[in-house]
Amino acid sequence: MLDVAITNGLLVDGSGLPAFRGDLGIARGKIVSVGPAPVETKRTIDAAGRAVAPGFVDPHTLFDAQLCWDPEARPSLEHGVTSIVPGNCSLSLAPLRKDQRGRLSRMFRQIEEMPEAAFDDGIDWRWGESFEAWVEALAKNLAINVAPLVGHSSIRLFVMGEDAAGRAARTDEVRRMQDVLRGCLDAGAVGLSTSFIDIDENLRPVPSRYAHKSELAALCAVLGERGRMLQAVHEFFDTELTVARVDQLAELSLAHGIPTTFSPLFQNRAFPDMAERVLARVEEQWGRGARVWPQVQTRPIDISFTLAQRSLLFITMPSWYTVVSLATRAEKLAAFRDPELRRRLIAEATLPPELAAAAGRDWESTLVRKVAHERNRALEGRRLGEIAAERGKDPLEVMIELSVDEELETWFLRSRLGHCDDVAVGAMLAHPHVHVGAGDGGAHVASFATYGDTGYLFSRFVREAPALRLEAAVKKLTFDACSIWELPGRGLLRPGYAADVVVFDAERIDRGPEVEARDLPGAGIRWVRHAEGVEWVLVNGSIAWSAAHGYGDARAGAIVS
Amino acid sequence: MTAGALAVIEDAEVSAGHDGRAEIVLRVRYPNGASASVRLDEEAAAVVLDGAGVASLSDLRGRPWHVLAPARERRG
Repeated sequence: MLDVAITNGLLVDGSGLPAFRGDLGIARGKIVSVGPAPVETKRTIDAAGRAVAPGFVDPHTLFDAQLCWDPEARPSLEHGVTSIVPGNCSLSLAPLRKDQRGRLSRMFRQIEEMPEAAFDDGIDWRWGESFEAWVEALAKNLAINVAPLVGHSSIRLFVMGEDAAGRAARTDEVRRMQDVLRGCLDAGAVGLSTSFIDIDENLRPVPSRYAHKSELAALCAVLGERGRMLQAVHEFFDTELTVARVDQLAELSLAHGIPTTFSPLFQNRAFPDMAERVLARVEEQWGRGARVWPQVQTRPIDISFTLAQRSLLFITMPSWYTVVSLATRAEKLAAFRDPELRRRLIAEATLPPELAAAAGRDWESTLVRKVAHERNRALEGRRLGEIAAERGKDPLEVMIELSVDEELETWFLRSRLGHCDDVAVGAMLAHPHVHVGAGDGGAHVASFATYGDTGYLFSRFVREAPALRLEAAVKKLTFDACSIWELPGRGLLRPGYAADVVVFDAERIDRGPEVEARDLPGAGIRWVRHAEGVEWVLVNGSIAWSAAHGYGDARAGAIVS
Repeated sequence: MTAGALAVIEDAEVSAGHDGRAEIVLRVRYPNGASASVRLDEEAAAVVLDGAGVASLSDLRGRPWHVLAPARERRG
């Protein structure tokens, strides 16, 4: 007898091959049949008119802390993400000595913008110090699969103490780091993360940046014993350095027989040839037999702003920048109320429609993100263009009027400021050597939402600006990801594979609007995006989330490696 | 020393930053023709504009590299 039968669905099986109609049978956490399902089943999910796919993999997250209080990694699970890779950017919560917890927490919070209260109130450090103990503690209460990386900076701190952030390692220290890494891999780590660029809370390089090349090579030799991944954050803001890092990762891949991945790679107005050059170098290195996977995020760059403080949004508009730089709120309010100055501001910010979007001045689509007064609540989530049309005004006039009405406390969201050329980004995402990821789920929680990139891949790059077929997009998020990270038995709808499954409406799947959530331990808010068009999410055969009932009690997640 | 003998800021753009955050990227051109990129977060960019006495990113173009120095010292 089946535990679950998903019937009448369009099976997008993760292979990239054309989808077909059929049923999926699930028993004891595994897929047991693909095609007509056996009749006897404890539960049936009717997926008529819906796509049925393997659960998605998010390969670049910082959920390490959140998993301590939220075993579902909300809201990633509801987007159909059934496996996450935390521990990126050289940071993991283990291994870590007791007296280093404050140090690591501060570094984590600096790099990933996590609130102090959430860290302090939400993490129960009683698992101890080792990676193995952390993994054991985590595995007891998971609704989502976790494929953890161990952080190079964390290993350095564990072995070298404070010297980790000050000097190269001695030979004996490198040997000890190798032993620690070996233990982490034995405990379930899927690889090592390192960073060439990040800084700590004192603006000093993180420990991994003090490593000599020989230290990284020695650690990669240990990865090579298990064929595990090296993840690196590179100098993404410089084409030449990025190309050099591709070469370095390729040499490590070839020397030690390991896969490597680096993130993020953006489509960038500042460096229009960067993506093309970097991908050309990646192709060259693949031609030599190296495995180097650039990670590209699907979502564009957004900026949230008010008219009360300076923002990068105003940095190309001197009149605006001058006003928002005034010393007091009263002075700023007076300036925005001045009719003559207001006319000048609007004129400066207005460009012909054909230039506006590319210059980040598409005010029509700018969203009212959060209002200060109840009387304006109905405007939240609406576009300035819609409101302006109703009022017969210019969108910028609406923005200024609303802000002045709320003493400049209104928050706006200017989306698609960068990484937003759909043709260029779509081509990157469809590239055979590009790994879709780099979304950074669980980080920057108080600034912007890092969830829903999978939904955005379908809404933007399958439906609106087609760059991938549905089957190809699913393959990128499933079979490709599981193959890149060497997660066996996952990523395909095949008998014997883990029953990580997502049922969704291919015409509707998307990320929802960015909304505020108050679900962090301690004080503070975070910004999230809920799923649209996703209906069922199963993890290892258990229903973890459904559109009708939300999150369930299932704790079928596992450490996967 | 004249500005001609110094590295100068050649270009400045709002750009995609780490993990999808908006940042500023400046291209600095050295007297020998070589160039390098410098990235500034929002706070550092404001410090640099204040220090240079300008109100627009485009006004940084042509300025000598040392207008960027205050950004490194902002947390002193």
